Amino acid sequence: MLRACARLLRPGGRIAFFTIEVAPDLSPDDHRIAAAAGPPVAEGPDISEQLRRAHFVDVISEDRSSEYLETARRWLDARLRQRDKIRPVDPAVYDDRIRDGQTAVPLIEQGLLRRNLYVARKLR
Amino acid sequence: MPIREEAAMTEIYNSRFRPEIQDAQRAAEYEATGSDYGANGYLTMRQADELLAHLQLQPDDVLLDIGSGTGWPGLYLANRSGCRVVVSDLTVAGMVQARRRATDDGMHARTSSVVASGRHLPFRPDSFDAIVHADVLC
Repeated sequence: MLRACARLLRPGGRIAFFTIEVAPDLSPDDHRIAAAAGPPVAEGPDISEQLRRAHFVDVISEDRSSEYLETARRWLDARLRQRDKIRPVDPAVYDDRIRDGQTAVPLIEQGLLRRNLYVARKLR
Repeated sequence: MPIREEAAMTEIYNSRFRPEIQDAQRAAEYEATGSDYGANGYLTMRQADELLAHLQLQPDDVLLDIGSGTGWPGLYLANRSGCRVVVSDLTVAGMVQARRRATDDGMHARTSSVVASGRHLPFRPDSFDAIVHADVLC
């Protein structure tokens, strides 16, 4: 998708995005657990390197996992507290979201899932 | 993402982006992220403001938001900067809500919406000044 972004941007155009990733250098078991968790997670080559290969420059990468954990906890807490309002609309969707949150929070706490910010510019 | 997986994601998110679900969880969304766009994800209002600063959007710019869902954060960034925006998502349900929000915010004339996969974006080369996405590169 990053190559497609480079094609669509004008020279000098900017890209900024967050992405959730499986932490590098995990044991095979931990990697499998993290990769199986929702939300879907990015795998494959380092994203900073992918940006450079797609002719982006001035690449910035920042680890935002602590904010990710804070937001995931807030979502879970808020949904649980407002269960009586949200769940009746569609119990299956609500239960999925609760299950996603209850799966993701411990994995973020353990460092298996990360969230990063990337900023870059297309070469002029 | 394989086509079968993409189809499954589309079905999941079409279900999650139904207006009645978004309305019911609006307060939870605001509590979790500070946003009220009907978003389901992890991008907070503070982080959206950071994206705005990084992208240095100007009123004559065209911004593409990939995987925008119900318009977050693309509509917000366009509203703050005055730029034009194209919001895109796999789901019709999300794009319908994004159009509604653009109209409510008086941004109809400078907002376009496209139902498309992030891997097959139907635009000409060199069409955009900036691209944003949040947790779509999965």
